[in-house]
Amino acid sequence: MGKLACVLLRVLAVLAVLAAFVALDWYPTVKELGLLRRQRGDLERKIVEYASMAAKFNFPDQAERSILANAKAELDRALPLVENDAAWTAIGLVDLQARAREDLISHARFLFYWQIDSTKLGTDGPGGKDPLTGWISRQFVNIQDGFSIAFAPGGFPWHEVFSGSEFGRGQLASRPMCIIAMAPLPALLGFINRLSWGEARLEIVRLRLEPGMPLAKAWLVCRGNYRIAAPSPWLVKTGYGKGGENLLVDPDSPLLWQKVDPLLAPRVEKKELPAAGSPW
Amino acid sequence: MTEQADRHPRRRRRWPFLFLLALAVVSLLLHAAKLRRQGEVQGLCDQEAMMAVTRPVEKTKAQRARFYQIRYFLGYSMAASHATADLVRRVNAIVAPLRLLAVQIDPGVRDLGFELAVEVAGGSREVRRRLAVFLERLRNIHNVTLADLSRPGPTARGGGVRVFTVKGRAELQP
Repeated sequence: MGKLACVLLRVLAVLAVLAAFVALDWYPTVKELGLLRRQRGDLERKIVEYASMAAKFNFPDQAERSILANAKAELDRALPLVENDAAWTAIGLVDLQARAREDLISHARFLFYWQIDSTKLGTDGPGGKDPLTGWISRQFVNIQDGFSIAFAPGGFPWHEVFSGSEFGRGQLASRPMCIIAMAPLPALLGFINRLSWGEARLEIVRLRLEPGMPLAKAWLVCRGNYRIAAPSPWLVKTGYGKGGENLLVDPDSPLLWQKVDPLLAPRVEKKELPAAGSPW
Repeated sequence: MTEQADRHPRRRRRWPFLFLLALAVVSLLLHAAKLRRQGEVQGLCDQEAMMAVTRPVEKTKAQRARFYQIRYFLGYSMAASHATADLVRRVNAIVAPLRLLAVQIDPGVRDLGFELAVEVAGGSREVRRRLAVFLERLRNIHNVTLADLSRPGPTARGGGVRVFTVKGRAELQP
């Protein structure tokens, strides 16, 4: 009886040692081996896929690299670099005043957000009552709505273009302004068309135009993008990258497998409207 | 007999050691296999990383996408102002005998949204006909993709004159 108990104890001891090895060492090791096998399989598959993808891919040559670098340099040059917001305001005003004179715009007002307050709008312009004043007062709420589009979070649509851009000096800023003008319709349309040709590169955010005889009236809320060296309340905030609209290029597009073709994205040239009287 | 009896307990004393040795050998083999496999995985990771560096498909695709985006941005302001002015010009050219009271255009990144307030005079049948003709002409403008009357319906101005709002979208053609 004592011998049987002794044998039983030995068997139990052996099983306990075996169980300890299995539980504490073999099982975790086998589990890890399985995980590593799966990882190896995944990596091998990825490498094969990547190699076959790379075989079909058109890698850039020197000419393409130079085109890509030129585009980045062109983007840097396109935005005016200013010391502070006041400097950009000056650029914009000089730009617009010159444009208004050249396009024979008889009445033009340029407003910034903080100026849109009804007390200032009621003032008379030099040489008598400014014929735009009454209209601006009536359009006050609509103009505010126009500004609110530009101010809305996510309202800046060019995050993807500037993501990763490192400007040598300065940060990206974007600021709205309102242009109010009154002139014969053809002159006014010419002015609207040429608005973006200046150094301030104004983008129209909203236009409201009321044709009238003999003068048509229009207000435009525009956005100007620039690089600024000083801190500014108009700095473009990151983190709103995915607005309602964006310029997302499909990463699976076959276009991206080929070398860039500048002809596929031709430069937009300054284009005049057809002469007055032309049907189209 | 005594010798045999001596060997038996010695063998009995040795088997726990042999048993533990066998277990340790199995453990050792398992760990060796794990180490070898870890080395293989590391090698494959390095190979994958090296491929992404020497043949950077994703980076190149991102650079190309950015090139097209930059080109679009650089041309956008001119394209948008031209399209905006041109749309007003075209609408104004086709609006008669209706009267264009106001045009509002919101250029987006890819197209323009527009809203027109048009004044129509006449009896209700005449108004409907004139409005239908105007909408037809509007939809025939080459870059207009959508044009329709907006709800709520017209506001009456008295004297048989009603003001309708037309909403639509037009392509932005750089």
